[in-house]
Amino acid sequence: MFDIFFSVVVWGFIFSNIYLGLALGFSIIAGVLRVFHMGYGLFFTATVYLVWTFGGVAGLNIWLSILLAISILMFFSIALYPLIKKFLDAEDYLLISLVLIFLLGEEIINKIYPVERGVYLPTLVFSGVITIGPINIVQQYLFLSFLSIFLFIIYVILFKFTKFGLIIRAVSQDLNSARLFGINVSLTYALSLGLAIIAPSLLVIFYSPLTRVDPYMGFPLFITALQVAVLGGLGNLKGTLLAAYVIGYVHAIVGFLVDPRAMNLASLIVIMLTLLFKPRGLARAESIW
Amino acid sequence: MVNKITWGIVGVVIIAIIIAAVIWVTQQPTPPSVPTTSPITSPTSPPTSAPPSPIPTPTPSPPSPQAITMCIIYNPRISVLKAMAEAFKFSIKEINEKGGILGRQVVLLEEDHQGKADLAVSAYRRLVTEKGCKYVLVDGVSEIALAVMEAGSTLYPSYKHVVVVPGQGAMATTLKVINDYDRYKFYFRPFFPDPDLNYVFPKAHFDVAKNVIGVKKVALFLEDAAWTLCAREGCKVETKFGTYTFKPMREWVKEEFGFDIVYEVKIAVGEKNFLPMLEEAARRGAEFIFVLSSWYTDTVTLTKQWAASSARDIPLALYAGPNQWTVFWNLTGGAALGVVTLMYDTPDYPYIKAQPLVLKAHNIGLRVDASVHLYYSTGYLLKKVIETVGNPDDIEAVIKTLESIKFEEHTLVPAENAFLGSQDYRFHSYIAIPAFLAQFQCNGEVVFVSRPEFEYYRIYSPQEVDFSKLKPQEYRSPKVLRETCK
Repeated sequence: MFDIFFSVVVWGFIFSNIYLGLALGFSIIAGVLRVFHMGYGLFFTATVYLVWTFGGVAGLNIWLSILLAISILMFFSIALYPLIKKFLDAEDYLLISLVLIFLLGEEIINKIYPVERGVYLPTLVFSGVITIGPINIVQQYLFLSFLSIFLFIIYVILFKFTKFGLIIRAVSQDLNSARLFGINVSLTYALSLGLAIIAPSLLVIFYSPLTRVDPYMGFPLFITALQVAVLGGLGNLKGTLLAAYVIGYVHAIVGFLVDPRAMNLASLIVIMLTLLFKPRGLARAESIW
Repeated sequence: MVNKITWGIVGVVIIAIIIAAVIWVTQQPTPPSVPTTSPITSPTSPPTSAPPSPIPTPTPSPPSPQAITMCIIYNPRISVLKAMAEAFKFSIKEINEKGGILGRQVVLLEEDHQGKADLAVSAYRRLVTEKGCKYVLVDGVSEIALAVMEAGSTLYPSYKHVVVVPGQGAMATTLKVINDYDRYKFYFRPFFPDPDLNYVFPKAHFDVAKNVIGVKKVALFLEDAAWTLCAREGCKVETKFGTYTFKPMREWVKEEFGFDIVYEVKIAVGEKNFLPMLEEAARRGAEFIFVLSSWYTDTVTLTKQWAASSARDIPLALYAGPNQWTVFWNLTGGAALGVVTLMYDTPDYPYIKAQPLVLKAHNIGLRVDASVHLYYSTGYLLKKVIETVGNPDDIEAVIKTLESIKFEEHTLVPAENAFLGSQDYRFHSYIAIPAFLAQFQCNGEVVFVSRPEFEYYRIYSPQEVDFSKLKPQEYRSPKVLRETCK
């Protein structure tokens, strides 16, 4: 019984941090732009396939490929902002457009790289096994956990102790007041979009050796990010952290102690019950931090 | 204002450049890969092949009085379903090149059902009533097949045709044929029905577990889908030929092979997190993990997580899915090292008639799983049947002939089993026979580890199967392979 309990503790920690990393970008976009980014899942797929294109097809060094892929996606996100800006007030059109972009992106990637191409990222940087008590874990899982925590801390430092972070918090808290203070809101939005994709992109790159890589991989990861962000209180990083651990441990407890098939159902029930009593999520706040 | 326009233009130009660059880069010839053996980090690429290029479908000009019209309805977005269609198209192309059927060319029409039953049914109606299609194939999705079958029961009296679905296993379809023959006789399933897929076909896995690996404790991971009902809970098939009872897998595996089932778990369709199950299987001391998977189970993620879990030293045996492709090695990044699986995607496949098709399929960029053989062979089955009848429009005779003919040209199934007229629950289905299992070894090399002495293989003659390709003595445990493959 002790080993099951230990598995719950350790794997719950790992699941929680992976979910945290996946959800960070979505929370930032929801917190700053106040947009429910329905196309968020495409970041995961696009990142992986861009890294593959540069590394696996063009033959570039894997680290250079990662840098190029993330840079392109950041630039793409920033450059795309002016095109979507005018839809920020027409949220229904924006949501539909984001969904369509998501679907279109998946189909394009599927056309270029159908499953049988065998896409794989050689990003299993820690393939050794570590023994923690009665269980053995591949080090990559721990690496992912600490990578998520590290990225979260970086974001917190950025938001709390930098001028740019202060600007972002101001915009997320009160848009009109921020404008009155002379903040360039458009630029802030655009840069936030670029900033938001760093965490999920890095995480999915190093998570890909442990999960399926195919053109439709974005949606399940998006659903996980969505659950965490909604439970945490849309757009609040403290809530995202808390929610990631709630869902991670719910999955671990149900998966190891009850029935693995019930993991997703259990987390959905927890989310629904929480929202019944706390409709704004676990830690909804007026600003992103 | 100018800045906004500029930004917008810049954004669009960047998008266009990225897309063009990606497309250009991916169309370049793939550099030859250097084989490496590192189990997880550097997979070896399979022999390079051009991106799969669909067989150009003949432009569907209005069917001349001399042409025979055949149709296929499928979802081209799903790799395995697209492969089924491509295999059938390929067989039709070959048949036409050799003079067609009864000297008549075959015109093949195709429709996309997008994974939706209503679209499949409307496409089906259109093809049968407006295009005069008398031979309709559907991809192997049971729900779609059932919907088409129901629609067909109302169409058939006015529009004689046959519906052939070689890739679906749900017993529900042919059970309708058996129990209400006059209404559903147009439907054929040149494949094995679910009870056999749950009972006969997996026996090869357990024979390897017992007699090659020598295990005693087994964990069962059963896909939680309709087609595995017989394995999960047992089932009773009531037909006019009699009642057939099938025990749950945990019972017959114990009775027939003497295993101790230490763990059984159901895998939800779409499951992505297999770690709890793998950890539990390891905790309970399983010595062999059998996964009753279809394409609904993410065997790529399962294998990756298996290789990174406490269960990594436990032999993992997979059933259906992309694990039947040699490129599964690449899909898993080499994590498939040690996995035992059904494997059809190699020209070394022991069934000799299968080998030429594998080569031909690879030449057109098609990966081969069981369904590629089934759909390809169905083209030739229909050819043989029509030629035997002598008239492609005499559908009643075609149906009778399909029920009685012995088809010796199947690329995967021997003639005794490629028979659709069994007077039992397999009526309008094939008779199951276990296939051959292979193991992924160093550099993604595939070694067939089934035993030639396995009782079910006695049906094969040495002219049909190259038994020298079966090398159970070369089986290696995952742990040994990780240590020795460099």
